[in-house]
Amino acid sequence: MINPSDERLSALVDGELDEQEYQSTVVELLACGENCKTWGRYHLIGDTLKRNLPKGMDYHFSSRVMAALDDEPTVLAPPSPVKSSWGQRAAGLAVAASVAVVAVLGVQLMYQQDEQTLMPPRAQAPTQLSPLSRQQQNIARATQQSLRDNIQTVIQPQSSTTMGDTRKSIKQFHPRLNRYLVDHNQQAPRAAVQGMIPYARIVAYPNSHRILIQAQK
Amino acid sequence: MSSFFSTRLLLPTFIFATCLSGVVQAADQATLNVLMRMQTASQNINYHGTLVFLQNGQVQSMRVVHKADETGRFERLINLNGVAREVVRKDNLVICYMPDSKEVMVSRQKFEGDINVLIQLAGNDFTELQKNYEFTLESMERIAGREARRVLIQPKDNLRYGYRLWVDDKKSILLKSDLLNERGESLEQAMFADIAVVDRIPENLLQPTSTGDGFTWYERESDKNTSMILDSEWKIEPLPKGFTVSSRFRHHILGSSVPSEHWVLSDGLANISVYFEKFTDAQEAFEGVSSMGVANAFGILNEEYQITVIGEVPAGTVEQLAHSVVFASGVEK
Repeated sequence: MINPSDERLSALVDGELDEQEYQSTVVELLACGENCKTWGRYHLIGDTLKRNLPKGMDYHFSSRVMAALDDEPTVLAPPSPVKSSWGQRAAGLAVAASVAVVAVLGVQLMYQQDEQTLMPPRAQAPTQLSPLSRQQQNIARATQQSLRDNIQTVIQPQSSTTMGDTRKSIKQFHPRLNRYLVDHNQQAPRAAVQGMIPYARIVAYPNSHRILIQAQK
Repeated sequence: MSSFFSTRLLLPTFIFATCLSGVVQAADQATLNVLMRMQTASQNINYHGTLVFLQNGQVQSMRVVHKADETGRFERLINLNGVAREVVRKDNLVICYMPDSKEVMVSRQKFEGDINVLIQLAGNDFTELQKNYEFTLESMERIAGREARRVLIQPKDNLRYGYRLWVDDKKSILLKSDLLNERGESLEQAMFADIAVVDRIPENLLQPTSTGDGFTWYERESDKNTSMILDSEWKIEPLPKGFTVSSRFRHHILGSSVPSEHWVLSDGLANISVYFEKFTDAQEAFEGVSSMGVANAFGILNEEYQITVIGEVPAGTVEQLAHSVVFASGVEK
Protein backbone atom coordinates (compact mmCIF):
# COMPACT_ATOMS: atom_id res chain seq x y z
CA MET A 1 0.00 0.00 0.00
CA ILE A 2 1.32 3.38 -0.94
CA ASN A 3 1.26 5.87 1.90
CA PRO A 4 1.09 9.53 1.11
CA SER A 5 4.15 11.25 2.45
CA ASP A 6 3.87 13.66 5.37
CA GLU A 7 4.67 16.38 2.91
CA ARG A 8 1.67 15.55 0.76
CA LEU A 9 -0.56 15.32 3.84
CA SER A 10 0.63 18.73 4.91
CA ALA A 11 -0.14 20.07 1.44
CA LEU A 12 -3.60 18.47 1.63
CA VAL A 13 -4.31 20.19 4.94
CA ASP A 14 -3.19 23.50 3.48
CA GLY A 15 -5.26 22.98 0.33
CA GLU A 16 -2.20 23.09 -1.92
CA LEU A 17 -2.80 19.96 -3.99
CA ASP A 18 -4.14 19.91 -7.52
CA GLU A 19 -7.29 17.92 -8.33
CA GLN A 20 -5.48 14.70 -9.26
CA GLU A 21 -3.09 14.75 -6.28
CA TYR A 22 -5.99 15.62 -4.02
CA GLN A 23 -8.05 12.61 -5.11
CA SER A 24 -5.21 10.12 -4.83
CA THR A 25 -4.10 11.46 -1.45
CA VAL A 26 -7.63 11.27 -0.07
CA VAL A 27 -8.01 7.68 -1.30
CA GLU A 28 -4.72 6.73 0.34
CA LEU A 29 -5.57 8.64 3.48
CA LEU A 30 -8.82 6.78 3.88
CA ALA A 31 -7.10 3.45 3.43
CA CYS A 32 -4.60 3.86 6.23
CA GLY A 33 -5.36 4.51 9.90
CA GLU A 34 -1.90 5.91 10.62
CA ASN A 35 -2.30 8.53 7.89
CA CYS A 36 -5.60 9.60 9.39
CA LYS A 37 -3.88 10.29 12.70
CA THR A 38 -1.10 12.27 11.03
CA TRP A 39 -3.68 14.20 9.03
CA GLY A 40 -5.56 14.97 12.26
CA ARG A 41 -2.38 16.15 13.96
CA TYR A 42 -1.60 18.49 11.07
CA HIS A 43 -5.06 20.01 11.36
CA LEU A 44 -4.57 20.39 15.10
CA ILE A 45 -1.24 22.14 14.54
CA GLY A 46 -2.82 24.40 11.92
CA ASP A 47 -5.71 25.27 14.21
CA THR A 48 -3.34 25.98 17.09
CA LEU A 49 -1.30 28.35 14.93
CA LYS A 50 -4.44 30.07 13.71
CA ARG A 51 -5.81 30.21 17.28
CA ASN A 52 -8.91 28.34 16.15
CA LEU A 53 -9.03 25.93 19.06
CA PRO A 54 -11.99 25.93 21.43
CA LYS A 55 -11.31 26.39 25.15
CA GLY A 56 -12.30 22.81 25.89
CA MET A 57 -11.32 19.99 23.57
CA ASP A 58 -12.97 16.63 23.10
CA TYR A 59 -10.08 14.51 21.91
CA HIS A 60 -12.29 11.50 21.27
CA PHE A 61 -14.89 13.39 19.26
CA SER A 62 -13.81 12.10 15.85
CA SER A 63 -13.55 8.49 17.02
CA ARG A 64 -17.01 8.72 18.58
CA VAL A 65 -18.39 10.19 15.36
CA MET A 66 -16.77 7.43 13.33
CA ALA A 67 -18.17 4.81 15.71
CA ALA A 68 -21.61 6.38 15.36
CA LEU A 69 -21.26 6.29 11.59
CA ASP A 70 -20.30 2.63 11.70
CA ASP A 71 -23.46 1.93 13.66
CA GLU A 72 -25.59 3.58 11.00
CA PRO A 73 -27.76 1.09 9.11
CA THR A 74 -26.46 0.20 5.66
CA VAL A 75 -28.25 2.12 2.95
CA LEU A 76 -29.24 -0.01 0.00
CA ALA A 77 -28.03 2.08 -2.91
CA PRO A 78 -25.79 1.63 -5.93
CA PRO A 79 -22.09 1.72 -5.03
CA SER A 80 -20.74 5.23 -5.25
CA PRO A 81 -17.27 6.44 -6.14
CA VAL A 82 -14.73 7.10 -3.41
CA LYS A 83 -15.16 10.85 -3.55
CA SER A 84 -18.85 10.71 -2.59
CA SER A 85 -18.07 8.61 0.46
CA TRP A 86 -16.34 11.75 1.71
CA GLY A 87 -19.61 13.52 1.12
CA GLN A 88 -21.46 10.94 3.18
CA ARG A 89 -18.96 11.24 5.98
CA ALA A 90 -19.19 15.00 5.88
CA ALA A 91 -22.98 14.73 6.16
CA GLY A 92 -22.54 12.33 9.05
CA LEU A 93 -20.23 14.79 10.73
CA ALA A 94 -22.77 17.55 10.25
CA VAL A 95 -25.46 15.43 11.91
CA ALA A 96 -23.11 14.52 14.75
CA ALA A 97 -22.22 18.18 15.15
CA SER A 98 -25.84 19.26 15.39
CA VAL A 99 -26.48 16.56 17.97
CA ALA A 100 -23.50 17.93 19.87
CA VAL A 101 -25.01 21.41 19.77
CA VAL A 102 -28.20 20.08 21.33
CA ALA A 103 -26.15 18.29 23.98
CA VAL A 104 -24.34 21.53 24.75
CA LEU A 105 -27.69 23.09 25.63
CA GLY A 106 -27.65 20.67 28.54
CA VAL A 107 -31.18 19.48 28.13
CA GLN A 108 -32.78 16.11 28.05
CA LEU A 109 -35.66 15.04 25.96
CA MET A 110 -38.18 13.43 28.20
CA TYR A 111 -40.91 13.19 25.70
CA GLN A 112 -41.08 9.56 24.75
CA GLN A 113 -42.35 8.59 28.14
CA ASP A 114 -44.71 11.52 28.17
CA GLU A 115 -46.23 10.62 24.86
CA GLN A 116 -46.64 6.98 25.74
CA THR A 117 -48.55 7.93 28.85
CA LEU A 118 -50.72 10.30 26.91
CA MET A 119 -51.64 8.26 23.88
CA PRO A 120 -55.45 8.16 23.83
CA PRO A 121 -57.56 5.67 21.92
CA ARG A 122 -57.48 6.38 18.22
CA ALA A 123 -60.55 8.33 17.24
CA GLN A 124 -61.74 7.65 13.71
CA ALA A 125 -64.53 9.95 12.73
CA PRO A 126 -65.65 11.71 9.58
CA THR A 127 -64.16 15.13 9.07
CA GLN A 128 -66.70 17.66 10.16
CA LEU A 129 -66.72 20.93 12.02
CA SER A 130 -68.91 21.74 14.99
CA PRO A 131 -71.61 20.74 15.80
CA LEU A 132 -70.20 17.27 16.30
CA SER A 133 -72.11 14.27 15.05
CA ARG A 134 -73.49 11.75 17.53
CA GLN A 135 -70.72 9.35 16.61
CA GLN A 136 -68.11 12.02 17.19
CA GLN A 137 -69.65 12.93 20.49
CA ASN A 138 -69.48 9.31 21.61
CA ILE A 139 -65.85 9.08 20.55
CA ALA A 140 -65.12 12.39 22.19
CA ARG A 141 -66.70 11.18 25.41
CA ALA A 142 -64.68 7.98 25.33
CA THR A 143 -61.53 10.00 24.70
CA GLN A 144 -62.37 12.36 27.52
CA GLN A 145 -62.94 9.47 29.91
CA SER A 146 -59.57 8.09 29.02
CA LEU A 147 -58.05 11.54 29.45
CA ARG A 148 -59.72 11.94 32.82
CA ASP A 149 -58.21 8.63 33.85
CA ASN A 150 -54.86 9.84 32.65
CA ILE A 151 -54.99 13.40 33.76
CA GLN A 152 -53.06 12.96 36.99
CA THR A 153 -50.27 11.24 35.11
CA VAL A 154 -50.39 14.02 32.55
CA ILE A 155 -49.84 16.78 35.03
CA GLN A 156 -47.67 15.13 37.62
CA PRO A 157 -44.41 14.92 35.68
CA GLN A 158 -44.61 18.58 34.73
CA SER A 159 -45.17 19.92 38.20
CA SER A 160 -42.78 17.62 39.95
CA THR A 161 -39.72 17.79 37.70
CA THR A 162 -37.36 20.72 37.43
CA MET A 163 -39.25 23.04 39.76
CA GLY A 164 -38.45 20.54 42.53
CA ASP A 165 -36.71 22.33 45.35
CA THR A 166 -38.36 25.68 44.81
CA ARG A 167 -41.89 24.35 45.07
CA LYS A 168 -41.75 21.93 47.95
CA SER A 169 -45.04 22.97 49.43
CA ILE A 170 -46.97 22.77 46.19
CA LYS A 171 -49.51 20.05 45.66
CA GLN A 172 -49.94 18.35 42.34
CA PHE A 173 -52.09 20.07 39.78
CA HIS A 174 -55.79 19.68 40.51
CA PRO A 175 -57.79 18.44 37.50
CA ARG A 176 -60.34 21.18 38.00
CA LEU A 177 -57.64 23.74 37.39
CA ASN A 178 -57.08 22.57 33.83
CA ARG A 179 -60.25 24.26 32.71
CA TYR A 180 -59.26 27.49 34.39
CA LEU A 181 -55.79 27.36 32.91
CA VAL A 182 -57.16 26.90 29.40
CA ASP A 183 -59.69 29.66 29.88
CA HIS A 184 -57.05 31.97 31.32
CA ASN A 185 -54.79 31.36 28.33
CA GLN A 186 -57.64 32.09 25.94
CA GLN A 187 -59.12 35.11 27.67
CA ALA A 188 -56.09 36.74 29.23
CA PRO A 189 -53.22 36.01 26.90
CA ARG A 190 -49.70 35.91 28.19
CA ALA A 191 -47.65 39.04 28.17
CA ALA A 192 -47.70 39.89 24.51
CA VAL A 193 -43.99 40.64 24.51
CA GLN A 194 -43.59 36.90 24.22
CA GLY A 195 -45.41 36.77 20.91
CA MET A 196 -46.16 33.36 19.49
CA ILE A 197 -44.91 31.42 22.48
CA PRO A 198 -48.38 30.27 23.61
CA TYR A 199 -48.64 28.53 20.24
CA ALA A 200 -45.17 27.11 20.50
CA ARG A 201 -46.39 25.54 23.72
CA ILE A 202 -49.29 23.87 21.96
CA VAL A 203 -46.99 22.40 19.34
CA ALA A 204 -44.34 21.36 21.83
CA TYR A 205 -46.60 20.07 24.58
CA PRO A 206 -49.67 18.09 23.62
CA ASN A 207 -50.91 18.43 27.19
CA SER A 208 -52.30 21.87 26.54
CA HIS A 209 -54.57 20.65 23.78
CA ARG A 210 -55.51 17.51 25.71
CA ILE A 211 -56.61 19.71 28.55
CA LEU A 212 -58.86 21.59 26.13
CA ILE A 213 -60.50 18.39 24.99
CA GLN A 214 -60.76 17.10 28.50
CA ALA A 215 -62.54 20.26 29.47
CA GLN A 216 -65.17 19.87 26.74
CA LYS A 217 -67.15 17.30 28.64
CA MET B 1 -42.88 36.88 16.59
CA SER B 2 -45.17 39.22 18.33
CA SER B 3 -48.01 38.93 15.93
CA PHE B 4 -50.84 38.79 18.41
CA PHE B 5 -51.67 42.39 18.37
CA SER B 6 -54.67 43.93 16.83
CA THR B 7 -53.53 45.60 13.64
CA ARG B 8 -55.84 48.51 14.11
CA LEU B 9 -54.09 49.42 17.36
CA LEU B 10 -50.84 49.86 15.57
CA LEU B 11 -51.19 53.29 14.01
CA PRO B 12 -52.70 55.14 16.98
CA THR B 13 -50.09 53.53 19.16
CA PHE B 14 -47.29 54.87 17.06
CA ILE B 15 -48.68 58.38 17.07
CA PHE B 16 -49.26 58.09 20.79
CA ALA B 17 -45.69 56.99 21.33
CA THR B 18 -44.31 59.87 19.34
CA CYS B 19 -46.40 62.44 21.18
CA LEU B 20 -45.45 61.17 24.58
CA SER B 21 -41.84 60.44 23.96
CA GLY B 22 -40.88 63.58 25.86
CA VAL B 23 -42.00 62.02 29.14
CA VAL B 24 -39.57 59.18 28.89
CA GLN B 25 -35.87 59.50 29.70
CA ALA B 26 -33.46 59.19 26.78
CA ALA B 27 -32.03 55.81 27.79
CA ASP B 28 -35.51 54.46 28.37
CA GLN B 29 -36.60 55.93 25.08
CA ALA B 30 -33.95 53.87 23.31
CA THR B 31 -35.28 50.72 25.00
CA LEU B 32 -38.84 51.68 24.22
CA ASN B 33 -37.90 52.22 20.57
CA VAL B 34 -36.41 48.74 20.34
CA LEU B 35 -39.57 47.22 21.82
CA MET B 36 -41.84 49.31 19.63
CA ARG B 37 -39.98 48.30 16.48
CA MET B 38 -40.25 44.70 17.61
CA GLN B 39 -44.01 44.98 17.98
CA THR B 40 -44.44 46.42 14.50
CA ALA B 41 -42.05 43.99 12.83
CA SER B 42 -44.67 41.26 12.84
CA GLN B 43 -47.04 43.42 10.83
CA ASN B 44 -45.02 43.66 7.65
CA ILE B 45 -42.16 41.18 7.72
CA ASN B 46 -42.05 37.71 6.19
CA TYR B 47 -39.75 35.10 7.62
CA HIS B 48 -39.28 31.42 8.19
CA GLY B 49 -36.92 29.62 10.50
CA THR B 50 -36.35 27.04 13.18
CA LEU B 51 -37.47 27.84 16.70
CA VAL B 52 -36.07 25.99 19.69
CA PHE B 53 -38.39 25.93 22.68
CA LEU B 54 -37.28 24.99 26.16
CA GLN B 55 -39.46 24.54 29.21
CA ASN B 56 -39.11 22.42 32.34
CA GLY B 57 -35.88 20.94 31.04
CA GLN B 58 -37.57 19.72 27.88
CA VAL B 59 -36.55 20.96 24.47
CA GLN B 60 -38.47 20.97 21.22
CA SER B 61 -37.65 22.45 17.88
CA MET B 62 -40.21 23.66 15.42
CA ARG B 63 -40.44 25.19 12.00
CA VAL B 64 -41.96 28.66 11.99
CA VAL B 65 -43.36 30.38 8.91
CA HIS B 66 -44.63 33.91 9.25
CA LYS B 67 -46.29 35.98 6.56
CA ALA B 68 -47.83 39.41 6.98
CA ASP B 69 -49.23 41.56 4.20
CA GLU B 70 -52.39 43.37 3.14
CA THR B 71 -54.28 40.06 2.94
CA GLY B 72 -53.68 39.35 6.60
CA ARG B 73 -51.31 37.59 8.94
CA PHE B 74 -50.47 33.95 8.52
CA GLU B 75 -48.41 31.73 10.70
CA ARG B 76 -47.51 28.08 10.73
CA LEU B 77 -45.67 26.16 13.42
CA ILE B 78 -44.78 22.54 12.98
CA ASN B 79 -43.03 20.29 15.43
CA LEU B 80 -39.79 18.96 13.96
CA ASN B 81 -39.16 16.15 16.45
CA GLY B 82 -41.41 13.22 17.06
CA VAL B 83 -45.03 13.71 16.10
CA ALA B 84 -45.62 16.51 13.60
CA ARG B 85 -48.03 18.52 15.71
CA GLU B 86 -48.89 21.67 13.87
CA VAL B 87 -50.57 25.02 14.42
CA VAL B 88 -51.81 27.01 11.44
CA ARG B 89 -53.08 30.49 12.08
CA LYS B 90 -54.78 32.98 9.82
CA ASP B 91 -55.56 36.22 11.60
CA ASN B 92 -57.79 35.19 14.49
CA LEU B 93 -58.46 31.64 13.34
CA VAL B 94 -56.21 29.04 14.95
CA ILE B 95 -56.20 25.40 13.86
CA CYS B 96 -54.14 22.83 15.76
CA TYR B 97 -53.47 19.48 14.10
CA MET B 98 -52.55 16.66 16.48
CA PRO B 99 -51.66 13.61 14.36
CA ASP B 100 -50.72 11.55 17.43
CA SER B 101 -54.29 11.54 18.68
CA LYS B 102 -55.89 12.20 15.27
CA GLU B 103 -57.54 15.33 16.56
CA VAL B 104 -57.95 18.85 15.24
CA MET B 105 -58.74 21.82 17.47
CA VAL B 106 -60.27 24.93 15.94
CA SER B 107 -60.48 28.12 17.94
CA ARG B 108 -60.76 31.84 17.42
CA GLN B 109 -58.61 34.10 19.51
CA LYS B 110 -60.30 37.22 20.70
CA PHE B 111 -58.29 40.39 20.81
CA GLU B 112 -61.01 42.93 21.49
CA GLY B 113 -61.02 44.31 24.98
CA ASP B 114 -57.79 42.71 26.01
CA ILE B 115 -55.21 44.82 27.71
CA ASN B 116 -52.68 45.21 24.98
CA VAL B 117 -49.05 45.56 25.81
CA LEU B 118 -48.59 47.75 22.76
CA ILE B 119 -50.60 50.51 24.34
CA GLN B 120 -48.84 50.05 27.62
CA LEU B 121 -45.40 50.25 26.13
CA ALA B 122 -46.17 53.09 23.83
CA GLY B 123 -48.00 55.60 25.89
CA ASN B 124 -47.47 57.38 29.14
CA ASP B 125 -48.17 53.97 30.67
CA PHE B 126 -44.56 53.16 29.96
CA THR B 127 -43.76 55.21 33.02
CA GLU B 128 -46.41 53.15 34.85
CA LEU B 129 -44.65 49.98 33.74
CA GLN B 130 -41.38 51.41 34.99
CA LYS B 131 -42.82 51.51 38.50
CA ASN B 132 -42.81 47.72 38.48
CA TYR B 133 -40.14 46.83 35.97
CA GLU B 134 -36.72 48.11 35.16
CA PHE B 135 -35.91 48.24 31.46
CA THR B 136 -32.27 47.92 30.49
CA LEU B 137 -30.80 47.99 27.02
CA GLU B 138 -27.97 45.48 27.18
CA SER B 139 -25.16 44.58 24.83
CA MET B 140 -25.44 43.11 21.35
CA GLU B 141 -25.36 39.37 20.99
CA ARG B 142 -25.34 37.02 18.04
CA ILE B 143 -28.46 34.87 17.72
CA ALA B 144 -29.18 32.64 14.73
CA GLY B 145 -26.28 34.26 12.90
CA ARG B 146 -27.77 37.73 13.29
CA GLU B 147 -26.86 40.65 15.49
CA ALA B 148 -29.43 41.06 18.24
CA ARG B 149 -29.97 43.75 20.88
CA ARG B 150 -30.57 42.34 24.33
CA VAL B 151 -33.28 43.93 26.45
CA LEU B 152 -33.71 43.06 30.11
CA ILE B 153 -37.11 43.63 31.71
CA GLN B 154 -36.52 43.08 35.39
CA PRO B 155 -39.26 43.16 38.03
CA LYS B 156 -38.66 45.51 40.94
CA ASP B 157 -40.28 43.10 43.41
CA ASN B 158 -40.96 39.36 43.64
CA LEU B 159 -44.62 39.62 42.62
CA ARG B 160 -43.94 39.11 38.92
CA TYR B 161 -41.58 37.45 36.49
CA GLY B 162 -38.97 39.12 34.32
CA TYR B 163 -38.10 38.84 30.66
CA ARG B 164 -34.96 38.95 28.63
CA LEU B 165 -35.48 39.62 24.94
CA TRP B 166 -33.10 39.50 22.00
CA VAL B 167 -34.34 41.72 19.20
CA ASP B 168 -32.88 41.57 15.70
CA ASP B 169 -30.88 44.73 15.16
CA LYS B 170 -31.89 45.20 11.53
CA LYS B 171 -35.36 43.70 11.21
CA SER B 172 -36.53 43.97 14.84
CA ILE B 173 -37.78 40.40 14.92
CA LEU B 174 -37.82 38.82 18.39
CA LEU B 175 -35.06 36.22 17.98
CA LYS B 176 -34.93 34.92 21.52
CA SER B 177 -37.03 35.26 24.63
CA ASP B 178 -36.48 34.19 28.24
CA LEU B 179 -39.06 34.20 31.00
CA LEU B 180 -37.24 34.70 34.30
CA ASN B 181 -38.32 33.69 37.80
CA GLU B 182 -37.85 35.65 41.03
CA ARG B 183 -34.19 34.67 41.14
CA GLY B 184 -33.56 35.62 37.54
CA GLU B 185 -33.40 31.98 36.44
CA SER B 186 -34.91 31.00 33.12
CA LEU B 187 -38.34 29.34 33.35
CA GLU B 188 -39.01 29.18 29.66
CA GLN B 189 -36.90 29.93 26.64
CA ALA B 190 -37.64 30.27 22.96
CA MET B 191 -34.94 30.94 20.41
CA PHE B 192 -34.53 30.92 16.67
CA ALA B 193 -31.73 28.54 15.69
CA ASP B 194 -31.91 29.90 12.17
CA ILE B 195 -34.12 32.41 10.45
CA ALA B 196 -34.50 33.74 6.93
CA VAL B 197 -36.16 37.09 6.29
CA VAL B 198 -37.67 36.97 2.80
CA ASP B 199 -39.65 39.21 0.46
CA ARG B 200 -42.44 36.73 -0.01
CA ILE B 201 -43.48 33.42 1.46
CA PRO B 202 -44.42 30.76 -1.09
CA GLU B 203 -48.00 29.59 -0.56
CA ASN B 204 -46.94 25.96 -0.10
CA LEU B 205 -44.95 26.86 3.03
CA LEU B 206 -48.18 27.91 4.70
CA GLN B 207 -50.14 24.79 3.83
CA PRO B 208 -50.61 22.40 6.73
CA THR B 209 -48.89 19.05 6.28
CA SER B 210 -51.92 17.27 7.62
CA THR B 211 -55.29 17.42 5.88
CA GLY B 212 -57.12 16.42 9.02
CA ASP B 213 -58.94 13.70 7.06
CA GLY B 214 -60.12 10.98 9.38
CA PHE B 215 -59.34 13.16 12.40
CA THR B 216 -61.83 14.17 15.05
CA TRP B 217 -62.50 17.89 14.82
CA TYR B 218 -63.29 20.01 17.85
CA GLU B 219 -64.37 23.59 17.66
CA ARG B 220 -64.33 25.84 20.65
CA GLU B 221 -67.71 27.39 21.24
CA SER B 222 -68.01 31.08 20.53
CA ASP B 223 -68.11 33.43 23.45
CA LYS B 224 -71.53 34.80 22.61
CA ASN B 225 -72.65 34.26 26.19
CA THR B 226 -69.95 36.51 27.58
CA SER B 227 -71.21 39.63 29.30
CA MET B 228 -69.36 42.45 30.96
CA ILE B 229 -69.85 42.95 34.68
CA LEU B 230 -70.53 46.42 36.00
CA ASP B 231 -71.32 45.66 39.63
CA SER B 232 -69.76 42.70 41.31
CA GLU B 233 -70.48 41.22 44.71
CA TRP B 234 -66.78 40.64 45.06
CA LYS B 235 -63.92 42.89 45.97
CA ILE B 236 -60.19 42.34 45.93
CA GLU B 237 -58.53 44.44 48.59
CA PRO B 238 -55.75 45.21 48.37
CA LEU B 239 -54.78 44.40 44.81
CA PRO B 240 -51.20 43.17 44.43
CA LYS B 241 -48.89 46.13 43.96
CA GLY B 242 -48.84 47.42 40.40
CA PHE B 243 -51.85 45.38 39.24
CA THR B 244 -55.16 46.84 38.15
CA VAL B 245 -58.43 45.17 37.11
CA SER B 246 -58.44 45.34 33.34
CA SER B 247 -61.73 43.55 32.71
CA ARG B 248 -64.57 41.77 34.47
CA PHE B 249 -67.01 39.55 32.66
CA ARG B 250 -69.30 36.62 33.15
CA HIS B 251 -69.10 33.54 30.95
CA HIS B 252 -69.20 29.78 30.99
CA ILE B 253 -65.77 28.30 31.16
CA LEU B 254 -65.34 25.07 29.22
CA GLY B 255 -67.16 22.15 30.75
CA SER B 256 -68.93 24.13 33.43
CA SER B 257 -72.69 24.13 33.95
CA VAL B 258 -72.80 27.43 35.81
CA PRO B 259 -71.41 30.76 34.61
CA SER B 260 -68.24 32.06 36.20
CA GLU B 261 -67.36 35.60 37.06
CA HIS B 262 -63.95 36.23 35.59
CA TRP B 263 -61.67 39.14 36.50
CA VAL B 264 -58.49 39.84 34.60
CA LEU B 265 -55.79 41.72 36.46
CA SER B 266 -52.77 43.13 34.71
CA ASP B 267 -49.62 45.02 35.52
CA GLY B 268 -49.12 45.77 31.83
CA LEU B 269 -47.03 42.69 31.13
CA ALA B 270 -48.28 39.90 33.38
CA ASN B 271 -51.93 38.86 33.51
CA ILE B 272 -53.74 37.11 36.35
CA SER B 273 -57.23 35.62 36.12
CA VAL B 274 -59.55 35.37 39.10
CA TYR B 275 -62.58 33.09 38.73
CA PHE B 276 -65.62 33.08 41.01
CA GLU B 277 -67.74 30.01 40.42
CA LYS B 278 -70.53 28.65 42.61
CA PHE B 279 -69.54 25.07 43.05
CA THR B 280 -72.08 22.43 42.20
CA ASP B 281 -70.00 19.47 43.20
CA ALA B 282 -68.32 19.76 46.59
CA GLN B 283 -65.91 16.99 45.64
CA GLU B 284 -64.47 19.25 42.98
CA ALA B 285 -63.63 21.94 45.49
CA PHE B 286 -60.02 22.94 45.43
CA GLU B 287 -57.94 24.70 48.04
CA GLY B 288 -54.26 25.52 48.04
CA VAL B 289 -51.53 26.31 45.63
CA SER B 290 -50.64 24.41 42.48
CA SER B 291 -48.44 24.90 39.47
CA MET B 292 -48.17 23.82 35.88
CA GLY B 293 -45.40 24.89 33.60
CA VAL B 294 -44.93 28.58 34.17
CA ALA B 295 -48.43 29.14 35.56
CA ASN B 296 -49.30 29.12 39.26
CA ALA B 297 -52.77 28.80 40.73
CA PHE B 298 -54.35 29.16 44.13
CA GLY B 299 -57.82 27.91 45.09
CA ILE B 300 -59.89 29.09 48.02
CA LEU B 301 -63.50 28.57 49.15
CA ASN B 302 -65.71 31.49 50.09
CA GLU B 303 -69.50 31.59 50.55
CA GLU B 304 -70.08 28.39 48.57
CA TYR B 305 -67.95 29.81 45.82
CA GLN B 306 -64.83 28.30 44.43
CA ILE B 307 -62.37 31.12 43.91
CA THR B 308 -59.45 30.34 41.66
CA VAL B 309 -56.54 32.65 40.97
CA ILE B 310 -54.30 31.67 38.08
CA GLY B 311 -51.54 33.38 36.18
CA GLU B 312 -47.96 33.37 34.96
CA VAL B 313 -46.69 34.98 38.15
CA PRO B 314 -44.84 33.58 41.20
CA ALA B 315 -46.81 31.30 43.54
CA GLY B 316 -46.69 33.92 46.31
CA THR B 317 -48.57 36.40 44.14
CA VAL B 318 -51.56 34.15 43.40
CA GLU B 319 -51.72 33.15 47.06
CA GLN B 320 -51.64 36.73 48.30
CA LEU B 321 -54.31 37.67 45.80
CA ALA B 322 -56.59 34.79 46.77
CA HIS B 323 -56.49 35.90 50.40
CA SER B 324 -57.42 39.45 49.39
CA VAL B 325 -60.79 38.41 47.96
CA VAL B 326 -63.77 39.73 49.93
CA PHE B 327 -67.45 38.92 49.40
CA ALA B 328 -68.49 42.55 49.52
CA SER B 329 -72.29 42.34 49.49
CA GLY B 330 -72.16 39.70 52.21
CA VAL B 331 -70.28 42.14 54.42
CA GLU B 332 -72.79 44.93 53.84
CA LYS B 333 -75.72 42.70 54.69
